[in-house]
Amino acid sequence: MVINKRVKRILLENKAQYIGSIVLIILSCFVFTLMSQFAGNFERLASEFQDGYVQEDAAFRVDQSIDNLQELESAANAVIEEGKTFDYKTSEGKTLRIFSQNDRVNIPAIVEGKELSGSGGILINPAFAAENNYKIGDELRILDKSFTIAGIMALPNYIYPLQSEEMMMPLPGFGIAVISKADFASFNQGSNFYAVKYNDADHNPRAQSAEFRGLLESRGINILQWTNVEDNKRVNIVDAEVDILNLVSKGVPTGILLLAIILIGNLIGRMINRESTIIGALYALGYRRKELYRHYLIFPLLIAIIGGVIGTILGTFPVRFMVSFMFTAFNMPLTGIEYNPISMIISLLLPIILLGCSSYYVIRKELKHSPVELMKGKKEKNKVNFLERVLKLEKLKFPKRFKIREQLRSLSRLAFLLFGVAVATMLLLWGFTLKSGFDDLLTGGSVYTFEYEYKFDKLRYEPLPAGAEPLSASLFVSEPEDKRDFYVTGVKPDAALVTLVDESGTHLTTNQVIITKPLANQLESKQGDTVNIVRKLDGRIFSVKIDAIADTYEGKFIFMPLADFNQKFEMPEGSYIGAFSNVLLNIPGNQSYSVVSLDEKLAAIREVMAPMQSMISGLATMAFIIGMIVIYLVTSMIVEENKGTISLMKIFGYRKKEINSLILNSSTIVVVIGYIIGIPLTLSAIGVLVQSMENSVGLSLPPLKINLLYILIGFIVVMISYELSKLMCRKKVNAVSMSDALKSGME
Amino acid sequence: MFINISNLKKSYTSGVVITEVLKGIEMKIDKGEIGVILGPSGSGKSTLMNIIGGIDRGDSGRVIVDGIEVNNLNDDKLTDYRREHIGVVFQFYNLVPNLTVGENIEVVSNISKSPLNTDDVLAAVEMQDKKHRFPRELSGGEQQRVSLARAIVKNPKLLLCDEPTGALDYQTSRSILRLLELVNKKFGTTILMITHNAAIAAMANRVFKLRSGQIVEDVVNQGIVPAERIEW
Ligand SMILES: Nc1ncnc2c1ncn2[C@@H]1O[C@H](COP(=O)(O)OP(=O)(O)OP(=O)(O)O)[C@@H](O)[C@H]1O
Ligand SMILES: [Mg+2]
Repeated sequence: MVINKRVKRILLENKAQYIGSIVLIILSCFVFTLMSQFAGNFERLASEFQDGYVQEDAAFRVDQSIDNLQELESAANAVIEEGKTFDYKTSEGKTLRIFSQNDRVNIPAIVEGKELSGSGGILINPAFAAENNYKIGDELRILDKSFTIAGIMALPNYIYPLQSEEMMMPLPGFGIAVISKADFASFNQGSNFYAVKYNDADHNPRAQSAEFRGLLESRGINILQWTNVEDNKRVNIVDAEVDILNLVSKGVPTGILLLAIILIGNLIGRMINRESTIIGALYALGYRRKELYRHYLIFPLLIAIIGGVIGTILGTFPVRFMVSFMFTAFNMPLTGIEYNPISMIISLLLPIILLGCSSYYVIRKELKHSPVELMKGKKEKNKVNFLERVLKLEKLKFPKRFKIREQLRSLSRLAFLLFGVAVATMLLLWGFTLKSGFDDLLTGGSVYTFEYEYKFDKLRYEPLPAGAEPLSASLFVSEPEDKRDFYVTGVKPDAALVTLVDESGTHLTTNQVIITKPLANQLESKQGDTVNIVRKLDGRIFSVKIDAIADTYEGKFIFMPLADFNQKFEMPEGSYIGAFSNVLLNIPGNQSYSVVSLDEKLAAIREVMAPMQSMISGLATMAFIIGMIVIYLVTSMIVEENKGTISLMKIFGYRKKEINSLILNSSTIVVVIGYIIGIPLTLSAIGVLVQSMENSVGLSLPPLKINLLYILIGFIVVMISYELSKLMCRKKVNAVSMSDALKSGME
Repeated sequence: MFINISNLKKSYTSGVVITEVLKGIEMKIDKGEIGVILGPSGSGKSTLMNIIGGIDRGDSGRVIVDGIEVNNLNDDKLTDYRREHIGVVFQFYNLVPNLTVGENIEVVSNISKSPLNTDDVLAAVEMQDKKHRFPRELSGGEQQRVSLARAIVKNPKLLLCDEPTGALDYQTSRSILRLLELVNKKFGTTILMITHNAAIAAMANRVFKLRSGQIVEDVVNQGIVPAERIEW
């Protein structure tokens, strides 16, 4: 069709607008493809690893060694393997957790190098190797023995190598290693634990765990610690990560795609409006409706196809990089990247379908009219919308009134600008909120004022030196199936190393039962309530009366005096399992323990934060680009539509500055409002994210607030992109000539 | 002498073709007079008026309006000149579509040093009751009245009208002409008007006939006819 020759000309005439739309589609498809392919690979690699290397269904410790494992295995219909472990300080601030090699459950996967063969070999995890610059073949001394690094490995029960389960992220200075059973035995130390894998894969593992525990108890075996794999933070964080990735891979592209749809709907609607007389003439000349539909649909489809193809292709490239980057934190073998064709097709088709449908709707709305109506054209075009009519602006000064009128002139344009700025704000503030949260974590006053946290493998009774306070802790849940576990901790009744305050800031002494705020929220309990809690170890139910609520978001805890703790939970009198301390304790060599230094922890968190900066700047860049596109497009639309007015103003003797201020600055208020709307939207979007993390792994974060400074910085970034787009549009304003108004009537 | 033009030349170059549009114009109008320019299409009427109004520039010659050498002003000064001294009425009204009648007038009063009162001006053109209407809700004649009100609200020294009645019917045209006359009498505004309608020349003090860029007739009208009684 001859009229299709116009397509190229029209595209070139309105380059900025069409390029802007294409960039939005590219961004949307890029994020979608990258995130969904990334999440898919992550999920697949994790489950391949977990199946291929027989990840445990549960791990437990008992108070004695189990003699007849083989017989127990067949009785429980499970594979059970005994493991041994101890922590070894390779140098100041560096701890290596050494395991004996398993060959039936939690089998180490070789990521690089070779398996252990014979004595003297050691396998270490990738992060520790990278951090200490260890290469295969290097020597490593453990106690009095020298080992050669045979390979880099990943353990299925240590995917996320947390030193202790209370930590939020793996920290530098901690590594895991595997040596042969014989080598381990020669050290003559360490503690035992058992890893179980049930043979019956169809039966709920949690239920099997309950049965199995019953079996152990019936044989008089006392369980000290029991962790189902779903509760194991070193493993279940993978699910949380996949959840987040899936959420992001849907949310962000949807937002951007919506923007693109509004934008393109706007463009097409305007174009048809402008051309209504031509369309009427074409109708009158015998063109069919279908042919016109096809003509106008070319624009959105072209944009969707170009943007979709480029975005999808660009999005596939960094998947491998992202996965391997992620695998520096998650220890898993990267066996290969697979691209899911379905999400590829979705990424390609979705913009085409959505843009096609929305544009079809717009075109239908415009083409509904009869040829005569269309040929007259002008009536529709100049309709006053109800806001324009209703708003009484007399009280305002002229420039204000002019700007408001300018914005109200096209409601769809207004919606586009508001929505666009809000989306940009959300992206921007999302990054900042994360950073803000970590900042609080680093700088916020802590309820803990100790330097070291000790955990012993066996109960202790010995008195502790000055500067150290004993503690005992047990994991509980509120309902048997709930994943959101918490600690009940017994501390000294006058504990000095845990400082809790209530809402009014009054100090709370630990001679009572104190619950931290996030846990109080979770249990929906108030001061004076009695709550029922379930001990994870054995599923026994206890009730506890809450005396006070501590105003802190540092974890979910119930604190109570140690003596009450021991009595209530039937622990031996005077016993404890850990200690807070300001001094290094002198613990006999035959007692196994682990220690975490808070200073080291903080320093390490800082280090871990570094890569987050790049993510935040990535988000900020994207926000900036989207902001620029949206604001520039709207501003240039305004200039475009006001050519006549600008020309008139020039004739009337308006100065450049005055014209710029009236025309270009009319969006300022909308940009500001868009930003303000973006703030609560960000918070609720993050709320959804946090909730999903809380539900999947029980990770509780303090209620997210955005630091005022970051709100200000975000505002400045948005305003800078606004000013830049105004600067770009200034040229357009200057280019409008006075003869425009002289030659023709305005509309 | 309020307007004094001597030897004004203007040509347009498009590609290699040079079109001489004004070939040495001589023109004088006194303060408070109404001048009418007649001439066939393409003779250079609008070009001449635009140069007088500081919208366009002549190539050579002198254009003095109220003592200002318009042709020698730089861009900023030219803007100020338009802003302070000139009012314009267009053939196709050129009202800003998304502004009400009152606001259209404020577009100009907003930048004037001592504008007349918007309501007074609207009353003068008998449009006070339509102040809150939008332009598209008005007839052509009504729009032209608003356009006139907008031109005079800054109380300009010189009012330029390029075919102000070109798009209007007989009766409406006459009412616009009456208003122009009124403005001229009431405020002593000098008016320069382009028209294709020779009959209108009867209400002018001076009539200039333009042909191919040259003034071929410059007549001082001895028997001025009030707009009321002009017929065609
Ligand atoms: N920007 C331009 N570039 C080239 N030529 C131009 C330009 N503007 C006007 N002209 C030419 O100058 C001549 C005079 O134009 P002008 O608009 O002054 O005529 P006019 O007398 O006002 O005609 P009309 O009665 O039709 O309005 C015309 O021949 C026109 O083609
Ligand atoms: Mg003309």
